[in-house]
Amino acid sequence: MILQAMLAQTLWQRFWDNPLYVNALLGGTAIAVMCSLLSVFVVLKRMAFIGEGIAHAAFGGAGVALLLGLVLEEVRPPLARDAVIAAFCVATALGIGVMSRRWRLPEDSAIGIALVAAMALGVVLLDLRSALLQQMLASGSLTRGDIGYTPSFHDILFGNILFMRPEEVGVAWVLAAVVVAAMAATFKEMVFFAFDEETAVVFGVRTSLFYYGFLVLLGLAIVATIRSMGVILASAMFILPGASGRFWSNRIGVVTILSILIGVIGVVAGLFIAVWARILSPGPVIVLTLFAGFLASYAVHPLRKRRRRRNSPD
Amino acid sequence: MKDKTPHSEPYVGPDHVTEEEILCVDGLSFRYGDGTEALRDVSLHVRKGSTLAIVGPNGAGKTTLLRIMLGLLPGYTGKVRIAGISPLEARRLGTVVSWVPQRAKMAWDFPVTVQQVVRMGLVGKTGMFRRHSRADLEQIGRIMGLLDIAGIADKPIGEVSGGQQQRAIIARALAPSPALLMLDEPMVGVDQAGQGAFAALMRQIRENFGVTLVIVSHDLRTVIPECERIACLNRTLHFHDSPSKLTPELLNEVFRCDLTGLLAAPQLTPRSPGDRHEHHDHHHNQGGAGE
Repeated sequence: MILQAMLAQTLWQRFWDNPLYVNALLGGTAIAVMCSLLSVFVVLKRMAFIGEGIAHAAFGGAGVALLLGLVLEEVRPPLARDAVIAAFCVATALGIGVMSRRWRLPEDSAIGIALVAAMALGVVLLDLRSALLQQMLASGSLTRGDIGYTPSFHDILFGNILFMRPEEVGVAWVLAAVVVAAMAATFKEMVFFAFDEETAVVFGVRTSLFYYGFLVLLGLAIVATIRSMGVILASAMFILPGASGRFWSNRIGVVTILSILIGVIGVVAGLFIAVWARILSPGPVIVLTLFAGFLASYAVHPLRKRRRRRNSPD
Repeated sequence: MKDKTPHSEPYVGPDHVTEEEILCVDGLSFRYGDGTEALRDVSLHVRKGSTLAIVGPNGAGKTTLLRIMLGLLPGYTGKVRIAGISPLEARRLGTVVSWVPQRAKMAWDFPVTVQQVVRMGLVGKTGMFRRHSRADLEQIGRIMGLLDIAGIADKPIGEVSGGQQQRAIIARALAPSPALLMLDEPMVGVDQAGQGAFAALMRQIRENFGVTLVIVSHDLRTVIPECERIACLNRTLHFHDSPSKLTPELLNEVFRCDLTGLLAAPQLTPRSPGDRHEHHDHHHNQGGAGE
């Protein structure tokens, strides 16, 4: 007992003494709040694959930002780089929307196309950047010190929540506030839009605005997320909390609040587990914690029995 | 706009609609993007407060016509006026035309209550960033009482019966007090007893809300008792008159199959209130189809 308490004490101490951990906790909470809120509608509106597509598009955005950074000094600070990635992600999100709504391409095809095109573009641009960088270094027009820290392929793909800087935490909270405010202000329309889009149009909901607006919010939230979760795992944040919350209630308000709670608890718990274990990267641990929460939600949720009873042939 | 006839509307009067003819379709034609003709020279005239049934086989253009009248499908030729304005304007007003979609096409496994579904009907009327007014919410309470779903207001929509889901989306359509209510295939998947209940429900809605009904169906049996006018559609209009003048020959022409037996079937006669199923009436409506 005493040993356990001491262990907890040291973990607690170790956590709060390290600004990296504290930043990760603050930033992670902001990300959890906005992503979990969006995830409710991602799940209900069956848009999970769009989140995946936009997240992968961030890889292309990173390629653009890093290449631009060689020639434009303004794009070198991390926040400016993130702004370029955000623009790229939002453009991709809108591109997916236009392809599926205007060009009448099936949505999953539109996402698949955007996803591979953005990934390939990212690799090509990063290759170009390496070649150009070598040339510039050799000619002396640039020194290593000029460009500062450059994320590696691995960093972009998997991210690391412990690398969140204080200013990035601030940006994450601003974005979270924007997402929460936008969703709260239009909640009744969003619910109708997700429930029955075609009928919502007839009742005066401007569904195109909601569709594209939602894609923009997703794009912004994803950019805030890839820094910590990486391109590959970011979409977990947009599916798991909403899917877990859905098990618990048949009321949209309750589902939303529970999803946010589950998301925040999952991220915080995952971060603590990773810090406690010392050798694990927090991103995948957070995803696994959320996945465990999803399985647990299914196992114990009160609707399960009722649903089974209704589905049984009698 | 001039008011030609005095109306008695006991419950809700859509007062912005003053023309006697609420729906006017004149020489409407429509082609799909690939040039296929969907509708040719369709003309319909619906008097305020009456009921029109649009029937026709699958692929007759019923849904296309409905979508045009709802302002969802541009690019048609001819004239369409709802309460004197275009379908698009009517839709944007949010209180002129309302819609009951096909129940079977909806995803009911969604975490909302019956009351939340009904309140969705107010979004256009209330507007973005605003809360529903107290008067509108009280009105919704009355509508739900009349349609006998007040007792299940807080139940999840996925857990109530099919008939109750149907009444919830009808209540939603009535929520903004529309002048014109369109129902898309309301009888799909409804059994015989349910059909009787539905006919009674339509009668009750007309009496209480003074709303004009346009019912689109491929099923002749269910729509005829409750409507003054029937329109037989198969790309073009084959008939647009009182159902009593409908002949078997004409039906055969529209549906391209022998339906003679249908006209003699008992379903074509007005039902008595006793036929109802899971439905309570709050008002007396002894009469058959309103004239």
